[in-house]
Amino acid sequence: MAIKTFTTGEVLTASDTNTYLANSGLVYVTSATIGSAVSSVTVSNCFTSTYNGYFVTVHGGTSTTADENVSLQLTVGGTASTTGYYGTTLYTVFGSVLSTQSVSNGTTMTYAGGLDSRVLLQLQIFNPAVATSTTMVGPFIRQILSGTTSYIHRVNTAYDGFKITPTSGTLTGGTITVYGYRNA
Amino acid sequence: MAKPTGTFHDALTGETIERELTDEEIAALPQPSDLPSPE
Repeated sequence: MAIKTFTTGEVLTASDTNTYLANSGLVYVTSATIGSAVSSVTVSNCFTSTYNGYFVTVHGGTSTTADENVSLQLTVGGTASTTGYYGTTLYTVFGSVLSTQSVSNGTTMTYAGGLDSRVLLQLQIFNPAVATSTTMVGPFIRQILSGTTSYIHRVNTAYDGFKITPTSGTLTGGTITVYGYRNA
Repeated sequence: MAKPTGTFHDALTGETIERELTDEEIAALPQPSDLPSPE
């Protein structure tokens, strides 16, 4: 039961408390602490049939490169999918005009996030764990620009995780957190 | 020269490890791109 309306004087049972306190819309799934001077981070077994949609965010840490792209690949059993990424990224270098980057059947979601001497990545990922295409949307922010990014991964395979990689340099520290959108 | 390392987190076990990347993983690393140029 997703929602229950309590009435005045009604007994609040332990069962109801345990059920409804856990019925938030956004549910914590896992978090990973990024290592020291690593080139990539892989989070496995975070996508399951429990949720259709996920929110992935990165907090804190540092990057050796001040400004670059951060790419993302879907993984299964720790192995990244290296084909089938189609997407469009719209952005403006601050003070300039709108630019577009469009990728057809790329090896990665090239514009998943960015760097500002740390990782800037806040992505929504839908249907990664079912054998259909996966969609990924979010802001695209780097030290010198901002915009939006949207991709479809057109490979009909179920994936259980993802890998993020800065285009250059390494990452140290910070936390990747994965949340699931509760279905019902 | 030491190989680059990566962080690997398993949400099932909660375990996070850091290890050297394999040759295949190193080959798959993205290459530095040109900065977007203002129009």
